[in-house]
Amino acid sequence: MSYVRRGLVVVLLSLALAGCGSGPPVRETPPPAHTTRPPPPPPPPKPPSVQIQPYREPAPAVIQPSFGPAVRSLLATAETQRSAGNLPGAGASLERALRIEPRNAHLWNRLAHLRLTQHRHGEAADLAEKSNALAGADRALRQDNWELIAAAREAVGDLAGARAAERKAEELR
Amino acid sequence: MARPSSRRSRSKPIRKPAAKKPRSKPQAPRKGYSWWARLVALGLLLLLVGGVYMARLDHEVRLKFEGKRWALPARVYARALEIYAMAEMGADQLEAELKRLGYRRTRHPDSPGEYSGYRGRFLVHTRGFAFWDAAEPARNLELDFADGLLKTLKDASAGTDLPLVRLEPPLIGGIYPAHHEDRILVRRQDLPEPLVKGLIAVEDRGFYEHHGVSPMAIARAIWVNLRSGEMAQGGSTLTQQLVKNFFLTNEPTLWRKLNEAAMAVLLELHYDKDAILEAYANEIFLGQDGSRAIHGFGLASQFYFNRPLDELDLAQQALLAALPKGASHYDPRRHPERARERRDLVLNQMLEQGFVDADQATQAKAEPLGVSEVRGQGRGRYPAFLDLVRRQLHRDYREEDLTSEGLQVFTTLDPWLQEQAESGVSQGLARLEKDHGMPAKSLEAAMVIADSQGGELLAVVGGRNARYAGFNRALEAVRPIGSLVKPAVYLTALSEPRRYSLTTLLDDTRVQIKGAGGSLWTPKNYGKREHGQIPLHQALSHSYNLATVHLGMDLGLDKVADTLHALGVSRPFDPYPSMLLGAVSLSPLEVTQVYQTLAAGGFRSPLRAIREVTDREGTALQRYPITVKREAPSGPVYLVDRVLQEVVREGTARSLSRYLPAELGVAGKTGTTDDFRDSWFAGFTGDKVAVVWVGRDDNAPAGLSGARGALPIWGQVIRRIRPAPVMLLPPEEVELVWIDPANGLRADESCDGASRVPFLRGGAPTLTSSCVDRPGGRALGTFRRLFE
Repeated sequence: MSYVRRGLVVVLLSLALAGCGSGPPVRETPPPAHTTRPPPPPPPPKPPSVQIQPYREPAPAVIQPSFGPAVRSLLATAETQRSAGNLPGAGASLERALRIEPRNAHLWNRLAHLRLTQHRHGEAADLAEKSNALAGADRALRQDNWELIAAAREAVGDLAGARAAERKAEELR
Repeated sequence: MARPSSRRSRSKPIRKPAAKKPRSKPQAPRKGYSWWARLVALGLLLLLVGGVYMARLDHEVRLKFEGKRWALPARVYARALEIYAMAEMGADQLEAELKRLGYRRTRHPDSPGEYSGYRGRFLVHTRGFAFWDAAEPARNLELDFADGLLKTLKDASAGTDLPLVRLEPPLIGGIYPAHHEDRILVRRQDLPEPLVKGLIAVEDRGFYEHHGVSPMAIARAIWVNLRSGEMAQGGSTLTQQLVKNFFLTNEPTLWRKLNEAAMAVLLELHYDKDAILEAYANEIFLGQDGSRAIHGFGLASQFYFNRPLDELDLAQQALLAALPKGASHYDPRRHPERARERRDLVLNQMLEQGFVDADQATQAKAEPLGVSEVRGQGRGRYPAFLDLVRRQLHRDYREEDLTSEGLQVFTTLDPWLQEQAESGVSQGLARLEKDHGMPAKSLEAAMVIADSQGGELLAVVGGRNARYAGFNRALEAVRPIGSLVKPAVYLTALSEPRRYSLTTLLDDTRVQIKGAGGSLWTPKNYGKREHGQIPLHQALSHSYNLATVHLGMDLGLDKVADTLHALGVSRPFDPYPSMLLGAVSLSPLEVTQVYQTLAAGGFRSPLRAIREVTDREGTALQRYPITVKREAPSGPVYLVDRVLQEVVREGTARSLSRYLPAELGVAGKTGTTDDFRDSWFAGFTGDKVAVVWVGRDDNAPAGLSGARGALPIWGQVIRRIRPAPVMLLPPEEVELVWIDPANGLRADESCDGASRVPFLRGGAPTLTSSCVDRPGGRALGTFRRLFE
């Protein structure tokens, strides 16, 4: 239960944060020049530069969630729908947001929380894992995902799995 | 045994009256009275029978009219275009969508369904749509495009920025039985008045006065027709026409005519004019589209003008009112002259009866027929995709529900992408045939494009003629996949980090394997060369067969088969050694599933063509949400994906650089089967996964490798659809380690030629190369480039 509540707090917090970023959205993909021509060369996904020490673990890239105005408005819609008890509607709005920013780990996390509220525990854990895969260095998000996974596992009686997930969350604290 | 006797005994009383007849003769004086009585009795009997018959007819009329539920085929929609500022979208893309939705380009768009556009600046008056999750209101939009982006999106009335707008979803087809009626139901209040007036003027001008039949109308019809010398009017009332269509067969007998009249009167007794008019407007036959019969004005409006009824002008409404008389005779597409004459006749009658004034009539008559090129949306412009939708629906719905309940099916199809894929496939095949001197139309192809993170199917091309609803190769061409299978072999290996890493040396040397029947299998490399000891990544990026067979045999065929199943192959196959080189047969759709899992970092999302199904009122019945499932470990998938990028950068798919810039980091794999029968390319960009198959329907050698046949088509299509760069995120368990390419040992950046190679934790070599102590060591190879 506490996980659910903690999850909700995170949802609200991240929504509030999302509302703060009012500057131009950080785009993940550069704009193409023309329909029929290939887009201009985007920055290649470079591994960290050559200066880095040989055996040190490279810092994982921090993917900036873009949270453009369209996605922000969908998140607001989803939140209104959720608090009105329209969970399927909220799910549809989050999916619309994901179609616009499919690599935004926060959106996957949000959908995971919604599925948990709907008692769709398996889906919730899978979505949280997906969020983790895209979360990069966002420790807070990864911690929340692990807590969510722990809650989902506990709900289906997988206590050992839940403990393991909790430990993962602890490590990130 | 007893029967013969009893039958005889029963027959006796029947014979007796006959025997008595002669004896009744003396009673002759009562004969006149008997005739009279018989007549009365007969009359009463007739009245009784007639009464019973009418009562039955009445019952039938009411039962059918009230219980009448038209069988409404399921309607299938493409995705609704989401419009938002900074969306990667060109003005051309918006305009194509508006045309698809039947929007009209005007100078000043002031009613729904109209737009104007000039130099990247668009004003659009949307229609709005009641989506199941939220209603989208009709709006006045102002859009500015530049550099392939939608720069701003504004509410033109309020002048404020809008975050997001959904256009209506384009209707792409329906789900029909073999021969069928199709209609879009309209309510009486949705029938535009000029259409009703035109209909009444030309079909039944006494409609609001008569009681079902109109002797006056019959007389007048004869008079009018005689005077004008043509069949301007029929004698049947609208009510009679409705009855004829509704309840009766089409045989022209007197009995049917009488029945029709009686039923018309009964119908008018029970129902008011509006109810009758509404039924008529939905029932009447108005055209034919192959095996699909177009009924009712709602669908006719879409079928002839590709627009909703309430957006038609006077001339178009008059044309619709002209059609009930004879939809094939006055078919505006086949007989435009006749149709025009009849339309003008409707307009003249409307003028004569004061429904329009002279100016309106003259203006309307000056207009062209305005019939759209797009023939409504019957079996659809996208038969391969609809075929897939139908198959997915059949898992959850009965055929009769799909063809009669008026379900609305919202799909994932992106028509813009679909059209790029279709033209890319047909142009690509024509070019291949020309370049390789093949007979025209000898090649066939299929292509599937899906969203890589959520598994939504965006485009499905079933053949070079995408309009032809025949063999759907995207689903049904189950062909050996050749080297497309190799990533599964290498993924299996890399899942054992203690044994295999990207730099593990593999034997690319001759191999013979004894089959179950004692026969020997001797695989060969492309080009028949052996390469000796080569690093694992290179064996995959250059698609070396011998190294792959050695590797797969070392791993065990069952393990490789398990990996294939985890990646999404549900079709059973035999784990023979030849499986390692792609003897497994799959459809392009199934291959797409496998590569979707790879593109999404090991998370499989079952490919979906449907988002939701609603009932005819728009209430959601079923949703097909995004689901993800970790099916392959993220670390090994990451390593395989890195090599799939290497395939494109410097392996078998390097010719892709002709179509796509290297900076995109596209990942992919070529596939070729024995004697060049099948040419495959599967790959992914940052947000999409796509698969192309090229071959021949008769399975004869097409003479094309994967790189020469499927790859150019893949490249051509992907370059047109604004590809996003691939950004692979190394999972936690991956570390980058400097490696000396000369010996595969640990190195550091001071070693010449050393490069950073991703390893799974614990999988990197433990020994350090001697170059670490020798500054400016070896200057070997091109290895550095491989992983940077």
